[in-house]
Amino acid sequence: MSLLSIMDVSASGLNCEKLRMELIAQNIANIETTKTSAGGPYRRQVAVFKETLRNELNRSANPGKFMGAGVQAKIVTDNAPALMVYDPQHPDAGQDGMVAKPNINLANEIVDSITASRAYGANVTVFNATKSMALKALTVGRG
Amino acid sequence: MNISSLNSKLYAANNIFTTSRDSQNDLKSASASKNFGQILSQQLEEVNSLQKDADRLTEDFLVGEPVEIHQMLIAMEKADLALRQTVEIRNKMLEAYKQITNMQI
Repeated sequence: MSLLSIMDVSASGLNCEKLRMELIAQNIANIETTKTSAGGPYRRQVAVFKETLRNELNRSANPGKFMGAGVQAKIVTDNAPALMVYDPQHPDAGQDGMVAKPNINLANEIVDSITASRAYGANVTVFNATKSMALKALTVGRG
Repeated sequence: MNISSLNSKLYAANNIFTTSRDSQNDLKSASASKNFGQILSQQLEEVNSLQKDADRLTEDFLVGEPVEIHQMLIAMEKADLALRQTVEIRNKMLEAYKQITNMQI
């Protein structure tokens, strides 16, 4: 595995953390959304990470060797039940005065956003370390 | 030093170059009949394509295409590293060339 392909692995990590941050932003922006095109309140979306398929294929073809190709993420909708709040004045209130609010907990989202931002930083740090390794390798035999 | 012994030394050096070239060919395993120049131009082509990637991503980013900042920066870093490596290889080659041209026979 060359140093440049390690950079691709870091890039995939950055992409995935960015997607996670996007979804958190989307969730927090829609924390009061009670209407969606699908009907009902907005549902929380989360990013689920998995190793890329190429990793698994490489590993089964070359057991005992590291063959990484990074991570990939997909968007999953959280199926937790909507939050029922009593608010008879709300235009979307039902007969009993209950409004279905999105199943989003602000504290969870904020903690997730901190995790995502730190993980993004960690990937950048790995990238920089890889770069300094490559630059160091270029000085072999000099001086 | 007589010329025949120098000749045999040159022959040995030539052998070393040939074997290193062969091992490069093994790595590439594309064709057995590649010479050093072809390998060099192939590598230069790769460096060039990295530079082009970086250029394209930077342009797209500036124009407002959906390019992530990190994608652009990583492409630029890759191009930078590849260029540095190329310069390093050029320096080595020039050094070797100078050593040979300075050889007194």
